[in-house]
Amino acid sequence: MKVAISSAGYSPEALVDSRFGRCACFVVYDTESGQRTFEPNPYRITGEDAALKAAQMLLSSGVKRVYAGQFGIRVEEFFQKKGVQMVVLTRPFVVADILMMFEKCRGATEQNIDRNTRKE
Amino acid sequence: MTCVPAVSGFKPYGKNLSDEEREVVFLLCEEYESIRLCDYERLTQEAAAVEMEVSRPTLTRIYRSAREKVAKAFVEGRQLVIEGGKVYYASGWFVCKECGSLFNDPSGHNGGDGCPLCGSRSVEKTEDGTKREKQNEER
Repeated sequence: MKVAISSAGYSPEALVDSRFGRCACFVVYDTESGQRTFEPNPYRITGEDAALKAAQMLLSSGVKRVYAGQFGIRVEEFFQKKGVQMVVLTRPFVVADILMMFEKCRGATEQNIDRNTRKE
Repeated sequence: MTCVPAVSGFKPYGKNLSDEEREVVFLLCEEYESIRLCDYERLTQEAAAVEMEVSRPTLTRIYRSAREKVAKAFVEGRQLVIEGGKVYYASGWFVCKECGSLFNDPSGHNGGDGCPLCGSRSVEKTEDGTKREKQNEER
């Protein structure tokens, strides 16, 4: 499954951006392969509907879950309709922290299911 | 609305419908929801109105229209189609007791898959099913 984290910068040390639509970039992480990419957010300086446009972009790239500090009311409705899971982080997190938690979960399931897949 | 209707309509049986009787009755989704809440879940109209985020008089109007349509379909032997209306499906919001994050659960497992951040199983529904109130309290 693909998940996206709204990040304030292009590095794992960056903080998770509190605003979904206006974040600098999205970290797209594949929970199965462990692959991660930084996708720029082309809508962060757009006049309006930044969040909706960004949401559409993530949706079309197959993202099923998004992490951010907050979601606006319209984008919340959009994601609800499309069946995308939203996770609101109530404390400030660094992107690397979250990636580490993913790795941990992935490691745990891998040990149970498939020992052959190599962890990154 | 928290759940999709199980079927998209009902068909009468036991009689051959003539063309003019084939006209269907359209039950709007919010009308379906009002029947579900008031009659199936046995909520008071007041509580159902809160659930559907409309005023109590509006709920009564929707509910009355719903009953009229169902009655019409029953008595006249019409086909009933559930469709349309102003609705959006909301899955409730949950809060993780370990890391404090809030999340919704479109899978319909009611948070049973655990926290999507830390993986903890100790999650609970937010008090009002939305994310806002809780967030404000914490700030």
